[in-house]
Amino acid sequence: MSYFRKLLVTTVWLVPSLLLPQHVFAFGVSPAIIDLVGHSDTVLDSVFDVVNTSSEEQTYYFRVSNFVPDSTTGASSFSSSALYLEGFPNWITLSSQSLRVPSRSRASVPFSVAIPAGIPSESSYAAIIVSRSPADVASNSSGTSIEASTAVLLFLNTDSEGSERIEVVDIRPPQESSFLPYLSGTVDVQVQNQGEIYSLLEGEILLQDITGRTVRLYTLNEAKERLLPGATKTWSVSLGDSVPGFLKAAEREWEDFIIGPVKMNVRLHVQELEIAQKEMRLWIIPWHLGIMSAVGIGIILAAVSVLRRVLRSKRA
Amino acid sequence: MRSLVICLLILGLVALPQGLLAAMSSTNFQIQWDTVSTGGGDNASSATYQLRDTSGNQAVGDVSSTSYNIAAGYRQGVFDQILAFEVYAQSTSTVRAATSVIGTTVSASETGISEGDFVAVVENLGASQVVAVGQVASTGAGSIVVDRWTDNGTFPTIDGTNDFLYILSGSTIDFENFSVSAVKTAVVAMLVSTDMTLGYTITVFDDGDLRDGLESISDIADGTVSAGSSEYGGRSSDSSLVSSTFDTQDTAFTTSAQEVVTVTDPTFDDRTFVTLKAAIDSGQASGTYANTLSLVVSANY
Repeated sequence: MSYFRKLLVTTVWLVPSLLLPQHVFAFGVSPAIIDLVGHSDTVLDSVFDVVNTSSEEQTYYFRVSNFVPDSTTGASSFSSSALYLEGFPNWITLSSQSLRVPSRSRASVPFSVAIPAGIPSESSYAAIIVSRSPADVASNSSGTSIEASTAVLLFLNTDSEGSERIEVVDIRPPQESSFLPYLSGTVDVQVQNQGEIYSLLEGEILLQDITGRTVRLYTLNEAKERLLPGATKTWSVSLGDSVPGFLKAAEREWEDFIIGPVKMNVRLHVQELEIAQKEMRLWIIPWHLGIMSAVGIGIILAAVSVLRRVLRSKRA
Repeated sequence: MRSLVICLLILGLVALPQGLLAAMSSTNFQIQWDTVSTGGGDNASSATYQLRDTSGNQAVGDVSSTSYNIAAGYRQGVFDQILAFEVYAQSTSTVRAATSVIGTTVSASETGISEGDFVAVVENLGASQVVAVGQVASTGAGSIVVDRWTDNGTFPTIDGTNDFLYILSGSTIDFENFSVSAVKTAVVAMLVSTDMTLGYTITVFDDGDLRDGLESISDIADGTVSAGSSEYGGRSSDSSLVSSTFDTQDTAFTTSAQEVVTVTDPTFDDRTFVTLKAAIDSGQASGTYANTLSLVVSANY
């Protein structure tokens, strides 16, 4: 082969590979977390989607894995060893082990979970790992092969009805003292899961003044954190920032127009079922506004007094 | 008459603070100005609703030519609760000298680089290298413009002395020839988009040491991969890890998953990278060393 021909062949092979963007791994899953609830000796059906975000048709491979949840960080811990799957991962049957997905489109991956008989009320965790290469294919290239995977996390509660044991451990007021001139600072609500199943809690903090008027309503756990068995979480709610200066504080107290005891009621529920509640009391003493009012009344009285004297002197 | 004057005075005082409250505000927000032609957001919510919206969504639809595709419009092609992951590994053979970086423009050969590629600029290639990655927005003669840079908190100072640019496009890191006098490095960039409210975590694990038969390069144990020592590890661009040391020192990849990136908010096109480092001592047998590194992204809960 002539030098020119060699050069041409090499160029034809090399140039496209250099010019084309090679998106090694580009895909998504939806949803990324699936919550399942079931009884012993039943089969649950569910589905997730694989989204091909690349410009080429791709084949995706699926495998089931254990994962260890971290109740503090909310992160998952996986392992390279998928040989000894126990419990929940073994109950999962995928409709297929791989799937071809056209460019920039999505495809559904159904799966079922056969919960064996005799499973107690508990939470179990598993993941379906989606990758571009089958799990049993080992790389034989030199160097470090990079394999990217996306995990669909599965959270399963078995026989969970009425099993939630959630406790509002503590409600910490914004300051050391429960006496405030106006609502400000942060309320910390410490919640503990004392049961065997995880909870996807929602909740509110309702603040009512002495007349029963609702002065504030805050949502707890807006980010939808899962509270795992044995875990304790602290959710914070800001009642508002402190304002600088006497006049601004008085203005804020006027806006709020709260005086006396304020009942702070924390209520937690799973869907519509209330499962925990706790109350505490704050005292609002709007002293900036009080001083301003006293000064204002003093000025008014002084002005009236002067006016009356002027009027009297004119009459005389 | 006297009572009327008193009442008017009191009413005036009472009304005074209301004048100060004329702006659109509450204790929780203040809207200085707004417009109906732009706006919206992905995370509006209250106790009873969640809203993802936008305003001014014009020229919506798909447009394409022989060289591009555009899916224009709000959240086109984006699906709820999605967790999307892209990984780009350094293609070591694409190395070329970089002489300067001004803003988002790198002075380096543009040969073989296309719009949309990911590139890494490396200051002082080796054990203490400083890296930034970006996606190519355009190229010119001897220059490459990226959309934005992502670094580990320190942006590289590129002056042409031991500074290089790589294309990130492979699936295998080739360390080329190991040397007792230098630490071999490679960058793996990761992109994540998710609307999960608690963000995401990327964990990493390997299938064993970098090895060739019975010979292996040991996992790093002393926190720094050093030339002349046989060791292998990595360092993350995420500087705020809680449960691993990838953010503060060179750390060993093990068969148990370790956190390399964690983000606690919904994010779009979030970019991070891991720098792989390997070195050998003079007694290391020559061979073809290999292993597999797995990166797994999962939603936080």
